[in-house]
Amino acid sequence: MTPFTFATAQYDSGDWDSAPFVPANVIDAVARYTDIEVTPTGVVVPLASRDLFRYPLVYLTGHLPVRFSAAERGILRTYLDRGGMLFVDDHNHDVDGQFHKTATDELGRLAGAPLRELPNSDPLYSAFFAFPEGPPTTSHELNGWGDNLVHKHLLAVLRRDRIRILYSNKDYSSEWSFHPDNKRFLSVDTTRFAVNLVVYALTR
Amino acid sequence: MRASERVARAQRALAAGAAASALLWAIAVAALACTLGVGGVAAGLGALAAAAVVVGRALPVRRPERVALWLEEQVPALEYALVTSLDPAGAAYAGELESRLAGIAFEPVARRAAWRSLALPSGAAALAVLLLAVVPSRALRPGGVPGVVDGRVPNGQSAVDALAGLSARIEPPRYTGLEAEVLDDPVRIPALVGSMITIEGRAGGEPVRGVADKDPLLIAIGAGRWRTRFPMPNAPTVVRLAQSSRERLLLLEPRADSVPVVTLDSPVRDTVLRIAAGVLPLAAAFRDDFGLAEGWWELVVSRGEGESFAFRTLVLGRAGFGNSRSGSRAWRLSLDSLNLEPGDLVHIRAVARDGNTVTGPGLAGSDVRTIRVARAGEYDSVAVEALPPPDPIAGLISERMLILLTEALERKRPRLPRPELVAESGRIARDQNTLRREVGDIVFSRLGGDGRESVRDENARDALTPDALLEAAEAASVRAGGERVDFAEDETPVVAINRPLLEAYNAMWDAGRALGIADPRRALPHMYAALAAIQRARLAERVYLRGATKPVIVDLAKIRLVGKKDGIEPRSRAPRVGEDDVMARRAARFDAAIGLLRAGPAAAIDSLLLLRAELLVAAPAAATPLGDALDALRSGRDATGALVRARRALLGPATAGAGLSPWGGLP
Repeated sequence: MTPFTFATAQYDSGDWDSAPFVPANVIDAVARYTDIEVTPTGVVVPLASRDLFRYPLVYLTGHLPVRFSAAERGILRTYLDRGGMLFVDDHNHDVDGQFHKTATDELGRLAGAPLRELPNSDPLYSAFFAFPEGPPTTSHELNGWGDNLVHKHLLAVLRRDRIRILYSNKDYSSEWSFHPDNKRFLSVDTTRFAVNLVVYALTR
Repeated sequence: MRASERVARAQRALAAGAAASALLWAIAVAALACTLGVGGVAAGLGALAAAAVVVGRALPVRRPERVALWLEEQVPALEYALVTSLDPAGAAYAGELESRLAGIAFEPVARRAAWRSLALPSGAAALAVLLLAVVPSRALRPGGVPGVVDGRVPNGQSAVDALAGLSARIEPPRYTGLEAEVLDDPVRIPALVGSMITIEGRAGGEPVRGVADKDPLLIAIGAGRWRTRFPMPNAPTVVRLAQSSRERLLLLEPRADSVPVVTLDSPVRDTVLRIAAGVLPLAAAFRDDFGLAEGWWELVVSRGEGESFAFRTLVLGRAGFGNSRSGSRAWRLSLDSLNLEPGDLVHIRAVARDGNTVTGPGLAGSDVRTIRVARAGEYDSVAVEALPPPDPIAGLISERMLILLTEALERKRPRLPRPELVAESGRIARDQNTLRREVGDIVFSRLGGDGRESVRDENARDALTPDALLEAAEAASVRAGGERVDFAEDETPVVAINRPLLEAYNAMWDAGRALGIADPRRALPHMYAALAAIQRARLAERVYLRGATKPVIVDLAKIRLVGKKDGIEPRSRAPRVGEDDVMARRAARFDAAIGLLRAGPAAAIDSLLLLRAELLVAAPAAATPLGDALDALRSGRDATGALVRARRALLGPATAGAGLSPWGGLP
């Protein structure tokens, strides 16, 4: 069986590489809690490349306005149609910031349907660890960074009850962007939700 | 009437009595056979046999001479005249004999004998029919005798099923005041812990044996019934009753007596007192599921500091509740009487005891409130609920709000007298300038200034044009040797970040000037420019200046604790058995029992009962619908809904997908 490889999306606009430690942290969490075969490093895959089709889960983040090129849009649409899952996280933790506005607009047009609130009872939140309250909060939310509110839901575009695009305003990119060696200092591992993402993408 | 005719009449009376007797005996035997659960054919044969015996014994009635002899025996006054009259040899004396017999009435003797012969069979039939009516109707159902696997009595076994038609009597502990309850033919016996349970059934045939969990039950026999009596245990227990190879299971479902619930209503919260004097009102509410015995207040007074503490416990206001289920108590605590000193702590709680004399008593306490007497050194640090500190920034009006005010003023301008226009525009101009100074503070603090632009000399501030600010920014980003700290394209990053704010500063400056001369129309374009610049600066704040990070290679073996040793291959980890597997195994047992329902309903019920005994402790949410299902199955009602609920509780809600995962892999 091909090991799971965590892929970070590279796109022309914006700062796609703003959370460089997230891949290592997600890989660490998958290895720590599951028996899923996983490669020890992530990969960066351009959205306009057909290499995107090799990866069932792709992570996209940034702070700046997002505009996909025609090639990126075409490949990404095909990727989603074939069952790929795109996880987008707003590194700004903003409800009304430029990344949020442009990314949600772009993703909505791409999927042909607007992003909607994902119910906190969705199977995503019990795919591996149980998150009965929905998406786990981040320290940036609780510290009042950004818009000074806690987002109760993630946004998503679903297809036949399966998430195609998962969009987060919670700034997991900041929450998970630390060297995995420092995880031992945490009383509660905040990257556990990443395991749910991976398990969901691989099993649903 | 001639003697021979009179004998024939007696003959008919006796024959009718015999026939009726045969019929009654047949009824008695058939009813008894049904009561004992014997099959219909056997019951019919038994009835026929009984009738045949009676008829056989009455056969001599068909011969007149035997009837005449019997009458001679019953009526000595006949002096054999009757027998002689029937004998052909006595025909010569027929006239004399007839005259003698005419005076003796022997027919009533035959009628009375016929009636007497009905007394015993009538009683037997009535008794048997009564038994048949008393015993539960399910005992008569063919193939459905409770306690008999598959409804059939194995060959060679006693026809008396001592495990059918059980009854269980529950006597709750006396302190509860509840009345005894009798359950007919139960599958499960729910009762309070400590209740006395008496199970009994019909005695007969093979002896009945019983165990509760692993403890044998003492079974007594008397008055045609067996019975066993034991207290309700404190954990779910399966009682196995057996007779010969038959077995029947009963589930004992104990219910615990709850401890009282005590709510302290006063004092509402912990308190620090400066002086321990006066009266402290105490109030609490109490309730219990069966009855409260008494309640009181408990005080623990602690004194000391560091490692040296002394405690004393006080009990106040102990009073009974008379076994009522709820009540309240109030008390006025005199703080003077406690002789408290500074630093002393008083812990207060209300306590109640219920009337449980079997497994109790149940004791419960309320939340604890703490009253502390402040020390002298603490007087200047008594906590107060202060207002939040004033936020100077919060007093500012945003540029967006200033634009709204200016736009409104511009719309009203044709209708406003000049003095009012000047006054209103001046107010907006002052707010605009205040906001400009705040923006200037931010820029100055980044450029190495003291961040107090707003307190600088007004003339110096006005002299600092945007160009001068840019020069200051360049200077701040260059080190002493002329080396730049960092750069991007043609300007330093500090300037790059500050440039939008500098533009905003400039635009606000122009807007403030226009508003100062009461010209809001000219001020508005500058204000729009300032707002746009602030928005750009907001984005620029999020540009992080950092170098490239080294890619991290995760040490998977270390994380998975595989371990390293030369020459030894690490073993792959075996997944642990999760909680879900336990539930899955229970669900499999449930499914197997459901599969048995049609072929062996009694066995299926027993399997479900054993499963419920386990679920009562491990998963009460699933045990409840399973109990409903057992009750329905035992009483012959439709159990589908309860079984579905039980299975959902065991496995969780069903999930359905449209098909296989749509992930298609490589193109």
